[in-house]
Amino acid sequence: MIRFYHVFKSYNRDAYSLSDVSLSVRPGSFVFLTGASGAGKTTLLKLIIREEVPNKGQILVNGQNVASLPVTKIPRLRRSIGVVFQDFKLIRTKTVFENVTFVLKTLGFDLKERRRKAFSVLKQVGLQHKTHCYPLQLSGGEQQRVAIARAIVNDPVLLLADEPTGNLDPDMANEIMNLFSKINMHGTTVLVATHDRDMIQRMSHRVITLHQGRLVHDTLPQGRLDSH
Amino acid sequence: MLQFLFFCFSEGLTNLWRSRVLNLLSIGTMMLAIFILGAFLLLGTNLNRALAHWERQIQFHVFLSDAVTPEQTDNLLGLLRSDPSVASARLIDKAEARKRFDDDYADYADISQNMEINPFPASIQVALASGADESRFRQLQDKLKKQAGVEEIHYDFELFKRLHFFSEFIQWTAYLLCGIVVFASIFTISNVLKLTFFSRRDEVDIMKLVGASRAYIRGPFMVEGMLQGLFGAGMGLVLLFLALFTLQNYLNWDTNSLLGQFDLVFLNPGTIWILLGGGCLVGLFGAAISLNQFLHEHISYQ
Repeated sequence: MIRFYHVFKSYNRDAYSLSDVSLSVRPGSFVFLTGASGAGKTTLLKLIIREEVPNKGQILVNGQNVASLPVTKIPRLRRSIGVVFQDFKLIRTKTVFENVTFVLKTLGFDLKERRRKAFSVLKQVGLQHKTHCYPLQLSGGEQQRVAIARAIVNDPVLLLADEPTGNLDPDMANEIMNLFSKINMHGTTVLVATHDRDMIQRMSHRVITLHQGRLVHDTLPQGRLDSH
Repeated sequence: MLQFLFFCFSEGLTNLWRSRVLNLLSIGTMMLAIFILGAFLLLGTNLNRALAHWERQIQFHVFLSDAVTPEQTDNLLGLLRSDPSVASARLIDKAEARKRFDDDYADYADISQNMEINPFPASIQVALASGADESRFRQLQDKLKKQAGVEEIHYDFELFKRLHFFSEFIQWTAYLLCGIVVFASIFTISNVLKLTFFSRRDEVDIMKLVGASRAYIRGPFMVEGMLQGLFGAGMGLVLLFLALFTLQNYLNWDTNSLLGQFDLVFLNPGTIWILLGGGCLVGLFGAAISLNQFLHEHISYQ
């Protein structure tokens, strides 16, 4: 699903945010990406959705070479990837329904189909009764669930989450992670960037650790190193 | 395509309503611009109509020499009445000319009465037919000058030349204003839209991240600019119509006395469509300018 080949990324000449990172994520897997603040987690996610371009190396996402992807094809790539952010990134002036169905609207789905899909994903995240609420009328956990609903409404093959539980209390964080597991069980590849070690230990999934832009550990749940 | 247009219009209208206070600034500017431009066009149109109206009623005088014979007078009357550009030709003999002076200038009637010889020349009063222009008059004048018994031909061209010049001046002022107004409107709309973009840049970032294409991001903004121009132009025209209606009712006696039962008219449908279309184009252009600057920094897919 995702392959990095000796990827380098720097925002200035002095330091690399990512340095010689090579990794592989299989379709349908659930992977944690961890490391201290500034380790390069967010940069790695940004490279996957082509928000940033690597200085060196190649990145394959679902068979597409993201580094050399023409600009006109970026929206299509992003529509195949669901992204969940720490700060939710919901449009405040749109209702829950509008936020969730926005991407469907840009893809030309009619209202009936948008309603059907939105109801289905909002039910999955337990917010089917809040379709007409605005983001600021919801709690942090509810907002994050709306963001997840928006990320999965288009049936993406890959779901990326950048510190999705960073702003939530432990109970809500558990609930959100259980939701990711459920999504993963339906076949979606899930990559979650987090520095919450307790959460990682509880979930028992593959863990990729970055430190100062370098990949320092790639650990399977059993504790052995992954050759990919 | 229809789906895309529907998306752009629904989002554009929603955004227009959502930022209505800010958008009132550009709609108001466009409204004022179209009102001023329309007022000048209206003035030019009505002045031209008034000139055409007055020209149709214009008469000129062929003054006859004292030595003119009745045959020569009949000959002149026959010549004029057979000309297609002449509506009517009427002889005013010396006695009638004197009487007209006495009637028109009653205070000086004594001077006229005390004269032993009638000094007022006989003349033929000629009314031009509808559609006869200056060139046709010149031809007629040349023909009459060659005839025996004609002393002088009097037609006050200078007044009409000045009125025509004034009318053209008004129209050129309207064109000049049009340029200024278009520039001011584009400037205002593009700056208002820039403010709108900045207030919605988070939204634009999110649209970008969820995979909305450039067209889907730009489209609603373009529609918003176009609608600002259209609504502004429409409101400007409505305001102009109301102003004309009020003026016509309020000054009815005045226009009648000045223009002679002449009704003021509103802009013709063609001009109205051009102004509305122009409003849309100015809005689109303003949106395109600010979008190009804004998108380069905020919506470029890197």
